[in-house]
Amino acid sequence: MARVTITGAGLTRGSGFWAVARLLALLVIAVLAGQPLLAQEERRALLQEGMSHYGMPGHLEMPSARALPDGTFAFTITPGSHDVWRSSMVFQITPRLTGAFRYSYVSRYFGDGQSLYDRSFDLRYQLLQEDPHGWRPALAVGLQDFGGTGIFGAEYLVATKGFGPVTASAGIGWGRLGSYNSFSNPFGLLADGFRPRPESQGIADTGKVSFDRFFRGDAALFLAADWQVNDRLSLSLEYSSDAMRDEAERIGFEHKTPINLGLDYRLGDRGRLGMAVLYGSALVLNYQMALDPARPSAPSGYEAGPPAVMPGLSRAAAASWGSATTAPEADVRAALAAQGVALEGLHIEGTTAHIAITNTLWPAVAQSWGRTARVLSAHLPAGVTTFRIRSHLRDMPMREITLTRADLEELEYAPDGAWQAWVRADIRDASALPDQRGPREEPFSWRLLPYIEPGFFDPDSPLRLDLGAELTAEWTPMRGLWVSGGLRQKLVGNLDEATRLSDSILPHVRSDASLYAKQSGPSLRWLTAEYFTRPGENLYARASLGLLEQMYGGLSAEVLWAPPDRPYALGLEVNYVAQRDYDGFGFLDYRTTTGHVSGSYDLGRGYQAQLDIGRYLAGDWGATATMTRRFGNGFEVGAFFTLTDVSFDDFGEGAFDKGITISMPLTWILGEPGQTRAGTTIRPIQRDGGARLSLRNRLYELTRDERDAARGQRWGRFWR
Amino acid sequence: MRLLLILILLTGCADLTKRGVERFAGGPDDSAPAEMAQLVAIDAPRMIVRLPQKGQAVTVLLAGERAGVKRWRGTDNAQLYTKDAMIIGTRGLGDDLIGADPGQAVQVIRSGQPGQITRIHRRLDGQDRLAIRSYVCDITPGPAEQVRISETRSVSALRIDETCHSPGGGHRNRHWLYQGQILQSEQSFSPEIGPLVLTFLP
Repeated sequence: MARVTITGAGLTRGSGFWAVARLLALLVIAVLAGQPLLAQEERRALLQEGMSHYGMPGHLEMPSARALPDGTFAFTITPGSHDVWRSSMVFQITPRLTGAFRYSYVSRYFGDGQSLYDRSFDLRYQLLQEDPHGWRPALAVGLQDFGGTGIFGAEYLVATKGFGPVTASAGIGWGRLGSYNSFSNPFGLLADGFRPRPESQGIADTGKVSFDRFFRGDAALFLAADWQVNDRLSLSLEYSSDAMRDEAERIGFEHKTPINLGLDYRLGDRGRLGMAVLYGSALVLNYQMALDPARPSAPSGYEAGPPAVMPGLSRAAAASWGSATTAPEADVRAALAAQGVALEGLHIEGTTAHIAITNTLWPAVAQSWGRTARVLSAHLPAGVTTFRIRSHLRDMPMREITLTRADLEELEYAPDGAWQAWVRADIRDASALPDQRGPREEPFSWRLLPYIEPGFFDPDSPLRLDLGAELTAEWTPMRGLWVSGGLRQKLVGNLDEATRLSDSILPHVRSDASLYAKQSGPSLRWLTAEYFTRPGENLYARASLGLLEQMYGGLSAEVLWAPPDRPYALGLEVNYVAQRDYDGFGFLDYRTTTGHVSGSYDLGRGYQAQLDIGRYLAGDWGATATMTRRFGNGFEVGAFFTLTDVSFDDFGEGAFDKGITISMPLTWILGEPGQTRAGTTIRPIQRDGGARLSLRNRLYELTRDERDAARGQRWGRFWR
Repeated sequence: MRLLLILILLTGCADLTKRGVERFAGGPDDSAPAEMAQLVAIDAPRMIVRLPQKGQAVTVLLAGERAGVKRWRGTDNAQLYTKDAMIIGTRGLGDDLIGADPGQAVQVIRSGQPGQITRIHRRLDGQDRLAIRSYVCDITPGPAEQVRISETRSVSALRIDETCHSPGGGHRNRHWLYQGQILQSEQSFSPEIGPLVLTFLP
């Protein structure tokens, strides 16, 4: 059973097939509606190379050595007449490294008539890049289903070369790709250990990386070629080295020939539709779709134009207000509010205005600063020539920038105005500056929204769904203190129909999700008092008390040290929590202390590594490694795994916790400004080992945009 | 993802690509309505902007002028900045020109003589960085053409063609000179938006 939590920022997390489907729906919309007319000169043809039925760049069933354009995010769905369906999500992690997550269905796979729902991962590295003008082919090494059940497990080494309209591949495969017309493993010449391929233990092996099987056992050769008939149509022919042994034994598949034939029609440069006859006995369809995370639907957004830089109020106008230190405040407040910025305080000293703001709208912090500066130029007296703008986040003072009237007037229409503004802004950490904020204007807010909560991967019903209403409210009685809660009422759904109970031998810290879903009354998702503060330069702190998430309540404290001019950051988080009752209003007996020391390192070009070491919910000790690629517009794709002192056997199915995260700003799709993100965490399976609290407002993510702005990121929007 | 969001997306996205242009062409007036009313009241100078690729046309009003740059706005506050009739910025079109240096374009165009100039455009690249694109443009005088400046009136104007090249692609601009001034001008900066045809109304 999977679970979805919604954080304060609107980040939605879930896992599994439905999550993929939801994301897919969004992305289809994005692709169909959002990016129709991108520049011929700039738009990249993402699916010039097709993908195989396994969801990696390739031919029909066979892989190629090609890669997708860097950063491409693609999906495939491949229904087959032999009752084998595959869908996959593929990401070009680096220009040479490709990764895929696949969800497969094989009807009546098990002896008792049960069908197989399989989650598996692929990785491929391009060792050699093709020389389009010379003789050198692309060469790649790949691992197929290296961490799932191993049912589709294979390894391969493949070379691909284009010859005009023909793209041909030849390769050698092991495992599934070494099963037809196979021969003794050539690596056996190096060591006898390569000759036998240890049998997969099936479900018991699920999730373990099968190092002991890589490139072992018999090998076989495969060949494949695509012929690009015209701009859109291509034909494929391949000689497959997959004997389909498993399918033949279990579902009566007939392998009549190793030859596969297919045709493929390109839909624009972001989609492909294909059809193929496999092994002389099955017909499959194949749909592929790709998107470019680096290109949102509207690169500059559809928001209205900014207010203009103005000379400011004349002496007479300013005098008519009486005391210039207080009177313009209401006017500035209204003007800033119209630009998505909340005024927290305004104080004028001689020719300098000190302005405290909170950005309530813009994904790019620099844009909130740019709009604020222009509002100030128009709504403050002309004699005020220096603007010191201090931004806040959850009442934490973040940065202060300083710009003068002369700068604004000079740079508003300057061709390099954005760069110049960033250079002149003199950005400082605002933690130690005197607080000039007034009392909060609107300490209470609430909203009511529908929610949808999926549950899936239950073999009885791979997809379940709840639909209801969620009421969230927030109250800030004093600076820094945020009291908030989220209440859900299910209206319709079938999550409560799950009957399978967790067989985990660990404390059931996550695997009892179905018991939580059985409650029909209103459910309190969270109810917390949070306190945010800046203990010092580059330091951020948070303390949270209350019902922290759906399954846990208690106390959470966190400190983060993150200098914006360094690539690294360090965090410490300690929590003492009790497991919440299934009906959400009391606590079970389980209590635990969980926490982590976290280190993040920005590897550059958008790649970020994170290591969290500590104690997990079930009391297990270990570490989580995460690698994330973050595009400049906030689109993120990441992968993580957690190893703890819980043995693979004790962990149960899956062996250890791992998954993929995808998160994107809604602005990416809509082109309208906003700070809401949509995202999902896809875990092949959720068990109790390596489980962490699902906390809202973890500091690193919360404060990242402000730090990014301090180091000049997204300043291209300053004048937008 | 909340279902509502999906519904909003499903219902709201059909015209997504037209959004920016529609905003330009007069969507709901969601920003500074007072300014627009004021401009209409004082009979501010107007300009017609046509976007042939989008099949849209709109009248914008001169909202302000500073340092030789005219700031034009539509009813919903999409904006266009011009300097000597050259577009040096747009705001609210989805793939805006954030800043531009048209170089000696105006001088050469107004001279009515052939010439070559350099243009530099800055646009957001999708990751909120400014992508700089520079063009070398050949300017060549063309024939005289009729340009319609109101429902009933046309004038004969000299067409000046401008062909811009860059390693990543190019575009074509056209300008119509009347009495030594640019009366009408077709300028491009984004293949997504296509050309903007500006007609300065007397």
